[in-house]
Amino acid sequence: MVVTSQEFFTLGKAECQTLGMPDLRFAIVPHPFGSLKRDVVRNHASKAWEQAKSGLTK
Amino acid sequence: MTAQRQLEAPDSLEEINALYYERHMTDGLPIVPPTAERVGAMLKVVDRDPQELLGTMAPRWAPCTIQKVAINAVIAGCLPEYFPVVVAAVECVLQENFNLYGVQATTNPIGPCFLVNGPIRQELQMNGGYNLFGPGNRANATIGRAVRLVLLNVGGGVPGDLDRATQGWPGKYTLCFPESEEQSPWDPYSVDRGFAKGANTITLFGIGGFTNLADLHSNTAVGVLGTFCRLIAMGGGTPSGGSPLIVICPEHAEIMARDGMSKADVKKYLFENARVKPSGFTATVAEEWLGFRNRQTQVSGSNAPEFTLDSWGTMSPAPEHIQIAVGGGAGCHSALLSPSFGGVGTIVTREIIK
Repeated sequence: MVVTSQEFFTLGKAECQTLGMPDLRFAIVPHPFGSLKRDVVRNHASKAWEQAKSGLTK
Repeated sequence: MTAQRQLEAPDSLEEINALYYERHMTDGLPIVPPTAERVGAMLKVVDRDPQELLGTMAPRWAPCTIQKVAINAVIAGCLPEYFPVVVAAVECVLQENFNLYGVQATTNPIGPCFLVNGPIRQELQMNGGYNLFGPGNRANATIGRAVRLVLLNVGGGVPGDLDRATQGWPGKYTLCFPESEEQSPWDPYSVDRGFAKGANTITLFGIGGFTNLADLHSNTAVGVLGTFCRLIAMGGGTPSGGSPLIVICPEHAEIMARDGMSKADVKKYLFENARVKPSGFTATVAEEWLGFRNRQTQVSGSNAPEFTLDSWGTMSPAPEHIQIAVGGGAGCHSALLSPSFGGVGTIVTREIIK
């Protein structure tokens, strides 16, 4: 399972392909997040966690 | 030349350039078509197997062979005699401590910057004088460009695709220059890196910006360095770590040496004086700076003391991390080339083997 920023999703997919893990699942966090307030960060983290849980348990 | 797939190219140079541009295989400037003859001429200059693997190049992790480097050197417009320098430069970027993966993929503007030392500078007629960072010299321009094209075409650092630089900077087209050793009052930079005087070397820095350090009025070392410190502390960079490169013009270097300063003295002066405290800024800016700095420390798990209003922000972690070379023509303009990230220990120097 990979957690990535939306902006680096293309890079992440390319890396998975190159490194022999083409089916690795992604939890995508909207960009940007460096400049966000804490409550928005928590919201993004919560959604990323839900994606990760879903991806890991499928 | 057999290992690389050969393409049937269109007849006209315009169509070839359009093809390269459509396939994101150029930096946006016109290319020299890498015909078998041109690549063969490039490979003849080095005693290396064209299929020799130099390493796998991030972020695509593609194999980087001598032949692929030769192809991109042709595309860049290199003369065959430049090729040993290009090979050494590519070997530099593939060293693990340079962190090429980070440099290629980051949102930061950082790109490679090369400094050449040794007699090869004159042999290749490189320019370490007027406009050494600017246009006009074939060797300076095409050696740096060749490496950029290798990073693009082998490493996959296509802007906006795997190269996520928010803005980039013009130094990413090419940034390669020789030290003006003959005009320097000190030992060549290559000696600082542990090589014998007279060795042909190339040194790689990760650089993300440039600041003009202009002092046209001082006639003492302290005067010139005082100007440097003010400009560095006020805007050129008290970066978050790393090894800044100061390229001192010959006139400034002469003033410093005339007042008895060694390179070590210059580094010490810069480190001790090119610094700012948060208390010197407005309260809003100071609060922001303290928050950012202390969050970094917390996240990194470092044992560094808390950064306060009275803490100093310095241009490098220690004087020895400040890098000094000499270059330029007549005039009173030196330069700060700013590192972007990666801490210290990312500089790489290789001997150039002809």
